[in-house]
Parts: sequence; structure tokens; C-alpha cells
Amino acid sequence: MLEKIFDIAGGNYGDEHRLFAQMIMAKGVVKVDKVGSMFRKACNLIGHTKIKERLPKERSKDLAKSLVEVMNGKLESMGLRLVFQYDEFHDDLEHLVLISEIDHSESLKITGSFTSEQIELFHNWLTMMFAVDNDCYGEILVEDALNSCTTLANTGRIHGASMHNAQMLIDELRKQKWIIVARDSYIRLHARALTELELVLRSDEFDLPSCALCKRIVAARRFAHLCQCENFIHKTCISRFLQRSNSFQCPGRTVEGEECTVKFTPETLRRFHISVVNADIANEEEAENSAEAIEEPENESLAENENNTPVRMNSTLNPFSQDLFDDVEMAEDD
Amino acid sequence: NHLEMSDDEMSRLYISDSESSSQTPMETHNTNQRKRAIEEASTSSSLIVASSQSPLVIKITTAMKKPREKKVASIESEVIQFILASSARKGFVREADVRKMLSISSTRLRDMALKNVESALFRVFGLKLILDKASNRYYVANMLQTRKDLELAIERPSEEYSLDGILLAILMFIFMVKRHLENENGVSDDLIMEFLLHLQDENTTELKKSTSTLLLDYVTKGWLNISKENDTSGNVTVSYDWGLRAKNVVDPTKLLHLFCKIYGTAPEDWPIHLLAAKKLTHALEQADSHARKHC
Repeated sequence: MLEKIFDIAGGNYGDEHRLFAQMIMAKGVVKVDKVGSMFRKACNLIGHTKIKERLPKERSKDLAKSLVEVMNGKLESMGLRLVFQYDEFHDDLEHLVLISEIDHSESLKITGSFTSEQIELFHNWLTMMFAVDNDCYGEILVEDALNSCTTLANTGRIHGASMHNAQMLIDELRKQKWIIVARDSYIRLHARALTELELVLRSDEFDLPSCALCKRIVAARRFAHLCQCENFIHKTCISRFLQRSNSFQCPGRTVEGEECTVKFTPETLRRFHISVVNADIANEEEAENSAEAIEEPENESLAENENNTPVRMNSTLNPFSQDLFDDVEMAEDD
Repeated sequence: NHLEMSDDEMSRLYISDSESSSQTPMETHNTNQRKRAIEEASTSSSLIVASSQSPLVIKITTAMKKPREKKVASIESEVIQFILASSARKGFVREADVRKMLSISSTRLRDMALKNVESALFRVFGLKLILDKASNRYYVANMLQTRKDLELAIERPSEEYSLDGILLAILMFIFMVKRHLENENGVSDDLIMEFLLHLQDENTTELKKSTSTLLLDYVTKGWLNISKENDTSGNVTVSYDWGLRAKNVVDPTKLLHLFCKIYGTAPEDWPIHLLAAKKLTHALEQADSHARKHC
């Protein structure tokens, strides 16, 4: 019965795909490990075939790949495309993003959720995030983001900007999954933004580097390793590769064009104060929370302990502890 | 550099028009014509050079044709995304906005572009574009099987599910209260307001205001239609009926069955409504089948 869902996903474009397209259009971005349950829901709602069995999470990526191959064939004619994007912080978290490939046009501006002032403010935050002298490159503090609008108002660049409006913009950007606000009050870009804004972030204005492994943008450098060959690699990419073997060679090339000979081992990740093992445990706990959210969407609350407080990850002085991350945001159903 | 081609090389070139499929030797054209043809071919990316064994052939389309074709395709993509974004955000799309975006000089191409947009929306998303000529607005209707189960929206924020429930209740109320005569305007707003306030078990000024706002929101999004009539004493009677969007999306037979389930009766106990429902459902199915055929 499970294979049936793969047959439908990889088969001719039908109402199941259309309904899935509607679902993903409404959300904009979904976690890859939720694709299975979403498509199963689509199949059952359409009703041609009832699929009772739930797809195991580890097979959701395979299903997503089949769907993307079939659907991109149709979406590309509309200037739309489904793209996979790994999360910069969470190991094994991958997103499926629906992006528009149309150059920004005036007509599409008027349908946007944000005013031109809000867009300018967001652009300003991007400039702050990727300023050369930013100690926490790729992120900014919420406080700095709010204070920046005062500066902009003083310079006359944004009229009527206020901290209240700026806070509302932060809330809306979070809600629409453009940004993540971590518990240490740092704002960074969500995978959705990294995908949608890839061209902008690669342009001369920001000129962000690519990860030597996945070739996608490296935004938040706190979560990236700078190799001796001067190439950046996402810590999540290193972690993912180390799950397959104990060590692997850096795929980057030196400035002189020679192969880099540095070997990555679990020791490499120690710098991030997370071992692969701990990361697995952290992921397991979050995975359980996520699994609950997928299977019983009515009960979207986090798993709770006896004291009815949300389950927290190891929160020592580890700067990469899950505590710093907006657990509520990411553990919530999309 | 094509401009450095020798006369001998030039003499082996043909200009082929893809529309008429005819080829004329380039040597029959003067130098300026040849240069112009090659420049046009280069800029429109239609320069194709065959192997050196055969005469070099440059396929040249009429200068405006290929660039215009590409432009129309990208305009169509933009219009599709505009329609999707506008209907998601506002619940409707202004016809004037779509016409402005489709400002293609050729009427034939413009009409074809609009048909392509409608077809693409249906083929890829199962969405139908409905034009309400009265308000000059387009609405986007979900034509998939799910609507037959009265699922009006997919994957909306959970706080909006209740709005769908209220909408269904209003549509059901209108359908059951109507006598389904010709030229019937719908149900008066007083009756609907009374029903909704009774549903919410409250009757405050604030609630009346928010309920009125809600009704107008449904009108804006095409679910309800509002009409106003002056009577002989000069009073205005406001009535609500199903809007164009509801007529294209909601299956009245399914709605009648749901009503009977709630009320504890059978559809046959409501012969007038059953007949009206069957007629409307049949019209809906015909429109569906017509849309699928043409898309």
C-alpha cells in the first residue's frame, strides 16, 4: 500500500499533485519530513485511492524527490519552482520551498504582504546582518534591528517608522517564515529566505560565499566552519557527512586551485560545542516533538514534562544549544 | 565575428524564414540586408549554424516575432503569479489589473495569453478563474474533488477554519430559506443577521457590527452577493444571495444533505429545495466538465 503513494507521486500529474500544489502554495515552505503526510492527506482528500498507512519519515525525502521532479515540470512554465534547502542550524532538517523565478516586477509588488517601507527596513536589516564589521556575521540582535529604524527615521529614509512597527514587521516575518528569532535574541534568515533571496544574496551587494559541500549560501557564519582552504562549510553539512563515515576530506580547493587535504572528523564539530552524538540526541527529542505535530495536528503543543513546562534541550553554556533556538517556532506544525 | 565573414562564406548562407519555411540564398540580398539579418539573428538568439559540411544556414525569424513570443510567455507567468497572490491576499483579482498586465498590442495574442493563463491555473493547480462582470473582478475557485466535500480552503491557518464554518452556515441558511423562484433576490439581511446573532447566542451592538463586517468581507471575496432594492416608501431592502464564487465551488446537493443530517430529516422532505439543488449541481458538473475539456 505504501508503494502506491510513490506510484501516484511519480506518475502522471493528477489531482493529487494539484491539491499538493495548492497546499504548498498556501504555506510557501514545508519541512521535507512532512511532505509524506501532506501528500498522503492530498491523496485521501481527492479520494481516488485511500492510503491508510503513514509514510515513515526516512522515506519522506524519497517521496519529495519524486514529487519535485514531476511538479517542477509543470511549475516552471509559471515561473515557479520547488527547491530543497537544508537548515543552517538543525542537523537533518531540510525544507521544501516554493520560489518564484520572476524578476521582481511592479505589478507583483502591489500584491505583496509588505509595504515599500517595510521592504526597505528589511533590506536595511540584511545590510546590517552582512556588514563586514558584524561580529556575528549573518545575524543581528532584535534590539539592534529595532534601534535601526530610529536611525532610518532620523535620516529621513523611512518616514513614520517606529519601534512598534518594526516589532510588528519582525513578528510578521517570523510568521511567514522569512526569519527566525532565536532565544538568544538573534535574528537570522529562515531557509525560505535563503532560497528565495539566493540571487540577491549572491549579488555584488552581499556576495555571500557558498558551502563547499552543498553549494548553497552560507549566511550565519556562527554555524559554519571556515576551512584552512578558506572555504566555508555548514556545520550541518559536516554533521550530515559524518553520519556516513568517521571522516571525510574537505571538497574545497585552495586559492591556488589545489585540492584541500584537510580531513573533517567529529572533532571538527567540537568547536561548535556539539558532538555528533549530542546533536543526534537533540534531534531525537525535537524529532519526537515534530512527529507528534505531524501525526496529531490538533495537538500542536510541545511535549511537556511533569511540571508542564516545555521539554528543553541541554542548555549549559553551549551557544549552539537548542535552547537558543526558537523551539516553539520550529517545532510548530507548518 | 559574423561581420568578418568572407564573401564566399556569405554566399553559402541562406536566410530561412521559420514562418514560411522558405529559404533564400543570402547572396540575393545586399550587404546591408545580410548584415542586418545576421545582427537580428544574433540578438534574438535564433542564430543556428549548421555543420561546416553543409551550407551555413541561418534561421531568421521575423525580427519581432521571437522576442515577442518570449515576452508573452514571461507576461503570462507574471499574470499567473499575480492572480495567485492577489486572490490569496485580497480574495479577488481586479479585471483592470489583469488587463493592464496583459497589455500586448495584438488582440489575438492578448486573448490567447489570457486563455493560456486560465488553462495553466487549471492544469497545474486545479483552479478556475471566474469573471464576475458585475463587479469586474476575477475569483479563483478550487475545482478539485475536495470541494464536493465542502472543504472550501485547504491548509488555512487554523483560526480561519471557523470562518469557513460560518460561511457554510450562511450559505445553507440562504439556500433553505429561499423559495427558489425566478428573480428571487435572496434573503434579507435582517433575517441573516438574526440567524447569526442567534448562532452566537448574543445580541450586542458590537457583535452586530462585526457580523456586518464579516458579511461584507464575504461579498468582497465573492462568496455572497448583495442587492439593494427601494420599496415604494423609499426604504432600502438589503438582501444576500450566493455569490458567483459560491455558485462555482459549493455543491448545493451536498449542502442540502448536510442540512438534513443536522435537522434530522431527509432531502425528499424538501422537494422544492431538492429539485433546485439537483438543477444547480447538474449545472456545476457541466461547467466542470467544460472547464476540464478546454484546459
